[in-house]
Amino acid sequence: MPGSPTDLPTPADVQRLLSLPDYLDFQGQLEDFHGAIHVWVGGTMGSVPRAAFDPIFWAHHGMIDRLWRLWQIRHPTVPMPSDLMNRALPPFPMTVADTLDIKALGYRYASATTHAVPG
Amino acid sequence: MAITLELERPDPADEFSRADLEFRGVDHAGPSFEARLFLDNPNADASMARDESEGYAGSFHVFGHGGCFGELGHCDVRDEPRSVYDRRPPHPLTPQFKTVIITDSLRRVMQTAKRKKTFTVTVVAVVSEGPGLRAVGGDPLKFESVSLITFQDPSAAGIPLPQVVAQH
Repeated sequence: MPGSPTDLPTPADVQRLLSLPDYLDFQGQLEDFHGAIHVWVGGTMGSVPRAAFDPIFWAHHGMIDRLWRLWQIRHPTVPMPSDLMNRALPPFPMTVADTLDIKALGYRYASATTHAVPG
Repeated sequence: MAITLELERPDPADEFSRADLEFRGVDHAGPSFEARLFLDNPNADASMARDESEGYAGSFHVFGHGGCFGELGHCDVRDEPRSVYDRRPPHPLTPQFKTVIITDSLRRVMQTAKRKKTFTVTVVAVVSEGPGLRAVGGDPLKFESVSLITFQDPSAAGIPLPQVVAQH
């Protein structure tokens, strides 16, 4: 069974995370958000070699990627470590720096959506 | 599953705007767990309320490897020096670095027993339970050191230079 819903990060926690001005500080705290959800869900999600077999893994990592994007939008001029940016990402012919522009990767995150049905 | 360490208090004249506990060498080869931090509460355990009145200061999480699934030696982290031209990333099981921001909690400690020179940090491991986890014996909570770092102005330009107050 997962943990209590009260143990999950709150909107205020997320806002504190996104307000961190330093990249390495943000990275460390985001990594703890990531690990916290794996621990909270438990079961298959709580084991590194098996976590990706749980369908919620993909929704969780989509959210972590979205938080990373939201931080980039808020801090567009913060320098990031060059050794990290130049790191290769085999088997893809890319470096970390090549992944920063998500539009080039073919996706985007909406800030809100609304729906209307005629009739 | 708890470890209690004693750290020096910051100088009362240090008007810090942020305080971090930095854990180095955190092992993540075993099960996943939450490490809850309690200040000046050496009796804290997994049943202790996560409340400021109990000294609760926050937590960090370890997404554990859950044991070694490979051949003998597969999960051994070798510390031998590497060539400067070796650009491979570090071994996946290299011990981790964790930071927990404890600013408000440390301020509360500083308001109590002001003559004391030290305070304690009790780290309580709460292991993630679940049917998919393989049982791993022993205490999963292992780390090399913990440091208290205070900052006077974390919003200053660039990365603030930390003042290391104490390390164990």
